[in-house]
Amino acid sequence: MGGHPSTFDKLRVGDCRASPEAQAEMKNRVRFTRKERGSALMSSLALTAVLALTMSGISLLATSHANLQRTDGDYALSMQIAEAGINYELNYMSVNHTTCPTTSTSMPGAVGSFSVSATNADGSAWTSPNPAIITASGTVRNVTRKIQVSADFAKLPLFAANAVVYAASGTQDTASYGVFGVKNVSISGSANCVYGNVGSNNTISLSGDGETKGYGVAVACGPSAMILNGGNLPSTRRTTTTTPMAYPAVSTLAAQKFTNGFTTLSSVAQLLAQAGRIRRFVGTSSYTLSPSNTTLANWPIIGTGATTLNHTFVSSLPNSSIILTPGDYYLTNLTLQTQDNLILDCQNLSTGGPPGQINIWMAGNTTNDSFAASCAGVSNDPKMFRIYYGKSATISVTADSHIQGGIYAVAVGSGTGTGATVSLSGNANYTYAVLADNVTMASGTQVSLINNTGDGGISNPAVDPMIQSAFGVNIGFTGQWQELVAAGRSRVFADGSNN
Amino acid sequence: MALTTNRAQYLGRRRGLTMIETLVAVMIISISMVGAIGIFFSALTINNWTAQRSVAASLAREAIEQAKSQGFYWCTTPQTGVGCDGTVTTYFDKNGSLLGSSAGARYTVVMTVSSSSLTNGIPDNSALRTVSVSVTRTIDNAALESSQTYLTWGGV
Repeated sequence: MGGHPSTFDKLRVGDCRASPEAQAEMKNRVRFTRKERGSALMSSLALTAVLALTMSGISLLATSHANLQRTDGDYALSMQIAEAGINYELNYMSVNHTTCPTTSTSMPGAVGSFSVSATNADGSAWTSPNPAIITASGTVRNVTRKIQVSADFAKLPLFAANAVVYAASGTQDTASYGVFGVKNVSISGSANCVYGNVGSNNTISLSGDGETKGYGVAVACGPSAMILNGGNLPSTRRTTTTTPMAYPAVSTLAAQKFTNGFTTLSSVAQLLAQAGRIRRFVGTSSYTLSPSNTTLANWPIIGTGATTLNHTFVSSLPNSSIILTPGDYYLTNLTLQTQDNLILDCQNLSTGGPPGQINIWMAGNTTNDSFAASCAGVSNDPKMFRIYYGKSATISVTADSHIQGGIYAVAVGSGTGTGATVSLSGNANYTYAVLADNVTMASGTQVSLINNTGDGGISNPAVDPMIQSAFGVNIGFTGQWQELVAAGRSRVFADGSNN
Repeated sequence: MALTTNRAQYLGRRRGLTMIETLVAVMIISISMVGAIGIFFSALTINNWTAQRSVAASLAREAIEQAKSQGFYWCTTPQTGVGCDGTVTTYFDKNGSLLGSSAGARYTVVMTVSSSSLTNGIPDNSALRTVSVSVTRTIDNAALESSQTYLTWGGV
């Protein structure tokens, strides 16, 4: 626009001097101006539209990325919560030892919840002590993942399969003791002897000359435990540990082995079954165990007599002998005297049936019991006989009695109360182990934790007496973790598997 | 002549309209730019937050798995063997690498372990142990992630 002004530029409104050329130029300018009208607005709108689209894309990308991250996190968290549900159920089953209801609960410290249930292998609702299949679903917002594991009670032996010499730096083992008193062990008088370790979570009181006659190691377990009057015991045979031993109560063991614990054991079905296994000799000609020499003892199936093994009953039988064949027995009272014979027919010679363990389970009252009889184990394998004494009372083993088998008398364990006491006196001789709330030994008693004489360390669960009598406090994960494919969802892994 | 006069008058009335259009356009563009910049920074914030959440989720998962791998009897103070319940605080940089202290830390991971029953500071076999993990941004303590699991004897 520099230089000389054009003719058009010199024109003004109403200027009638405009030449035709100027008028033509003016006409063109007007047309041009009309054409340009709104172009800036249109351009800005177009630019705005482009910007809006771009920003929409960016925001969509950002939010989808955030959503993707959240979903990814939810998938991982839901799996973790499902596993938490598995652990929750395992704990519930370990503590309660009963049927396990389906549980649904939220996780207070995480955004999510789980639902978990347990079944037997056949799909029915889980009952103790069967192995369990546990299925848990973890849900976080809209994401749900489901996993399934198998579980079983850990088989922890309470009694030793072999004589164990305790190493102070070794692992604490429930099955390393000849004598263990959760609350107290008292060994007094002369000529007492324990061939094995002696332990307690509280007090081991040693007096007399017992300590020179064969204690393995006296072990004070836990910070509250102590050894009293054990001055004659060399320091190499005395030790302490930081952790108390955890022996389950007999009721817990019963709950693990039988569907409803002692309720099952005291049921009519159980009493009928045990009456069908208690035998006597037929006559006086032979007291050798065989099907022809023995018959059912006509054991009562109702009333107090159904659960009472006493001198009155046994003395009425030929040779004052009562024969127990393999199986579980429930008693509320046990009072046998020196002339009574308790024959433990673990080999089942009297019926010709399969051999097996003999277990006596005792509960139901707080009356003291006594055992002063002759007790013979046909197999000479003390691992085949157990007394599980769940009464808060005292069972006295006296008068030269020799019992081959283990007695487990933990009625309360770490709980409150005095619990059960096993009292050995009068030259009572116990081959195997005495594990109880309280153990007292006086006057020439002996407990011998023996070497393995029966199974040679085999691990066939069907016949191994150690496995058959092993109990664990807890049920635990045994394997076969797998994620279940939800309905309408494809497999997790490309190879078609989901585990 | 009359035509020329009318057109000139018309042009006179139109004088300044282009300027107005330009101003309106500039205003629209400005507003849209402000919006676009806002969206851009929002997206940037979301992106940063997402990235932090992602790292935080990984740290929380790692902490949970670490607790699981230590076993049921794991103690937060392993050197003493007692007092197993408690809190452990660890710090991580922006890449999720472990730091020795809070200096330069981007993330703070607090793991708390509590047991339903203890004997002499050691969890009972029957205890249900709860492991809670929270991940926060160290600089302002903003919560990024929280997670929780259970430990039980013999559990997965």
